[in-house]
Amino acid sequence: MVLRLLHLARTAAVHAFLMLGAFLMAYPFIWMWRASSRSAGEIFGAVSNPPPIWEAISENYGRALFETPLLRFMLNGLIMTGGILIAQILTTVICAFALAKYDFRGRKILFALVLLSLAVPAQATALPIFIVLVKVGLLDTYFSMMVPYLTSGFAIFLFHQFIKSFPDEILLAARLDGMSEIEIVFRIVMPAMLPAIAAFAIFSVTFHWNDLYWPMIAIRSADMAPPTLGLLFFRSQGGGGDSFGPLMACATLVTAPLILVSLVAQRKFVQGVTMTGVK
Amino acid sequence: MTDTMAVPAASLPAVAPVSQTDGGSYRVHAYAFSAPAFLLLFATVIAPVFVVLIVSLTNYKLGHASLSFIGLGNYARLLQDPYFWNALKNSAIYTSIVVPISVGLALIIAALLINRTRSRRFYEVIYFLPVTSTLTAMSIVWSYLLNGNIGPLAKLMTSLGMKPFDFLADGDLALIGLAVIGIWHLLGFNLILFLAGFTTIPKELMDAAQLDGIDSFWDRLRYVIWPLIAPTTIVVVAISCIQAFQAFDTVAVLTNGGPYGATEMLLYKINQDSFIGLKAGYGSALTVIYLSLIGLFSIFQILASNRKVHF
Repeated sequence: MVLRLLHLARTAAVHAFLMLGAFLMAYPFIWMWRASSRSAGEIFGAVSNPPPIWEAISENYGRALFETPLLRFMLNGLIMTGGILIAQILTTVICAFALAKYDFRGRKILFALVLLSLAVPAQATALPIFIVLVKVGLLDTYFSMMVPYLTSGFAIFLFHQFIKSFPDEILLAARLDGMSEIEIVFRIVMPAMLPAIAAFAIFSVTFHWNDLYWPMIAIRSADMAPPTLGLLFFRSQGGGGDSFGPLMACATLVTAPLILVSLVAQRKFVQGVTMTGVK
Repeated sequence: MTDTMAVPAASLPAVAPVSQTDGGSYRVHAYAFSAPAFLLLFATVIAPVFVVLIVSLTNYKLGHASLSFIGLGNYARLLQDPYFWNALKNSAIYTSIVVPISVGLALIIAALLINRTRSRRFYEVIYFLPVTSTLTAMSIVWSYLLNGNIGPLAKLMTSLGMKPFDFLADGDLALIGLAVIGIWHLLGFNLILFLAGFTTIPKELMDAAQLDGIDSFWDRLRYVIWPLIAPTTIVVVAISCIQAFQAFDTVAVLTNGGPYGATEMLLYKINQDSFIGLKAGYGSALTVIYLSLIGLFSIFQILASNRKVHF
């Protein structure tokens, strides 16, 4: 009996600790939502008769969506992350296949270069790429947003590991059936590696949707800004009291897509974000 | 398909490696398939690194037509630049706050979570939220949470009759304020890495420990879990160091390096000198330092995750 009670007390203590931590983790999100669903006066001090919550919500979110270029920022972000992802998958899957399934002169050197590229953070290559973009006059374009990330050493490495364990017999059978090599990659190998591609896609989209460093360098006009940079433009224009609710509504809307995906597809998400380690 | 697969592998010619014996009928494919990725990798990673190395030996300024080689001049200047040392110091302090706390807490929480069967997923989801969130947006939220007048902590301190902290406006506290955000952002990531590491520990071992009378949580953590999880910890520490040295978003959104340089960290200084100050040569020398630090951590991490490092 005493042991049982002790066990119960211990479990309760563990949960209390874990709940406290969970509350602290979630608190900024809760605060952001509350701030976006209240009128300005309510947030910073007591107001005698606050308007009903739905009124504040429609006011704040309405202004965020239709009086600020938020939708434009989100569209830019969608084009940027989508473009990067498509380019990355197209270039890395075939490359990983070549590295895993063909033995050719230079294979080892190429693979070593892939590994080496994993140790180079994206910020270290920003300056030369920026100089070239200035020289060719392509700064402030969708191309400039995507160009440092059109391929990914990490994806090559990851997909290589996967394709290496793909049975050679199936490839041979496909060849005997008269399939071309490119057909084999896209119709036989790629469908089998969809889980790995999905995990990488989540990693890539999360990273680039949230990235602020490169857009700050490559993008100059608010028209082209992805969500992160757009938020900063918006904040520097608006600032204080009156635009606070809409600013919080913008922040909520920018954060929401990834949060929602992470709630729905948590396993995949965790896999996608953590499998990297490197970047 | 199944019929073809049923053919004994030994009776078939070897598939891969192909080209060595096959007269290289797939050599063209191999180069064609790897060319796009490698040309891009070369143009956007390899070549830029060499360019940075070379530019760091010049006095190049963006927008200027001419440049001349000044040898190691930028590096000599860097060693005497108090702002460089300040940025490096701030990065080191930030890292030495964020890494031990986020790694230590993640380890403890992971150890508490492995025995929870039903509630584990719930906690995983909540602790992981900050990792996927847009840090730029959340930094704006944090600027209010840490504010000395309207922030919840400040209100709590005022109601207790204490003088509230004004984290981001106070030179002594600003770096700590950013570190709090850094820990919040990194903790869930480390937690997931530890939970993944724990799945490699055989459950029998944990049960055996319980039978042997290692009952207290701390003893189990110390004598059973820790020795098995140490290799994972090395990897997590290396990754956390990389993340901490890459801190940029919070600085750019919240403090711009201030007040009076109190939060100017390495990456922010590189960004300022290279793209605002347009001092490409000097910025490149800073980048080389940054690249070597991150490269070291990365190599360490890759070695450790391949279990080639034994402690």
